[in-house]
Amino acid sequence: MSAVQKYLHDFQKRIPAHLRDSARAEVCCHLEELTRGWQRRGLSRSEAEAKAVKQFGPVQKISNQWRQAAGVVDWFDILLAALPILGITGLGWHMVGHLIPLTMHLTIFGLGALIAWRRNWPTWWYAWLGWLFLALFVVPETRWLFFVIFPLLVTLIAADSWQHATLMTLPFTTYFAFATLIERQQLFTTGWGPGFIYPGTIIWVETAFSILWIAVLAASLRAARPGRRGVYLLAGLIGTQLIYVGAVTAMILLAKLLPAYFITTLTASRVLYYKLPIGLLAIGLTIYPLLVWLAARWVRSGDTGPRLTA
Amino acid sequence: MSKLDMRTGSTAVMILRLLVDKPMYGYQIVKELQTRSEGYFDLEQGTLYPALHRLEKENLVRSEWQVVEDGPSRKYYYITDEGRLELENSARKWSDFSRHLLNLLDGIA
Repeated sequence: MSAVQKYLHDFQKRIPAHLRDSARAEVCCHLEELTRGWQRRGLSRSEAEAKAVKQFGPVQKISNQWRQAAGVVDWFDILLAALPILGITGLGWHMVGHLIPLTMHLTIFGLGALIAWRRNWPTWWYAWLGWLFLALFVVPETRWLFFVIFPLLVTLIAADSWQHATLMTLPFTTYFAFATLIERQQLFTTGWGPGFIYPGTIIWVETAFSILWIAVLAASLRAARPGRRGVYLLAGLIGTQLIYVGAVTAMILLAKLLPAYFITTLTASRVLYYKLPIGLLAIGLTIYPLLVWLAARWVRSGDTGPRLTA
Repeated sequence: MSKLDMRTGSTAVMILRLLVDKPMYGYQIVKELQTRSEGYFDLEQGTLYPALHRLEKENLVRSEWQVVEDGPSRKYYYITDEGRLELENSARKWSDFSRHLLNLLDGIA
């Protein structure tokens, strides 16, 4: 195998399938021109190829830059995006009843912001940003600030990139929706079993859902084609929200079908006037960035039919 | 806000400047850059393409494959109207930057 063939072989292994042909052709063309240039200076073909691949740059470095330019998200970035979810789960396991001091929270996010700024605001940063706003929301004194800034920021970001805005809303469409829809002490066993179904198993349930959310995040960010990323993210989020609805429905059905074994604190009015609006809000918040993006595209292009493209 | 960040945009500015004159393919851009800068700007050649693709994502350039008689097809890059505008903005910023820096360094070099 010649030096150029080996370079192309190693290079194309590192490039996503949908970019491979075009990338290979472009690199091949460049290496061929470089080789011919060295041959014109009197080098043999093999010497010229060796010089050409050296001039082009190390295959790992160039292919990594190519992937980054194409928007491919690496596993390290996915880990960074999932860190807040892992942090919340870790808190559940090791620090039940303890809250993170606000200063520590701001320090962690400040460091994250610094890293993100140095790396030119990568995708994972938008997942972090949402958790920062969750902190504003849960503290009563700053809740008003949340309702002022958050909707505005989500809308502004969504106009440009609905995937980034959807990542920002993650804490509310995943953890917050879960915590308000599947509340503690909604389902009891009567004279048998653990009594409270939910609180006794809260850590395991939260961990299971955290794994699910991280899987959705990883599957969406890892999608090589940017256009599919958002679709996977939306599908995953709406899927998990339907699981919450299914869980609430299952609680009601169990209590109705097996009243000797299960009772529930859920009432029709609570379901209609609290659970249902929260559920609809979670789904609405999930698709809101997409709707904003479509509206912005329509306004920018002046077309009557906005296209859903990456 | 300019899409061409001063921190990372010097390669991008150079590429846009070259493409204003005529559409070029990757190897041609590198050679032209070397020639016009008298060898001062000597990129690691493979790094040109991620820069070009980022510009294409930002809609500052567009590309087109063209069949060549005596070799493999070439992907030519063209500057867009938005690219021309960004180039003007960046050229102004770079000009201000270098003017102030030279004032600061006056008498040193």
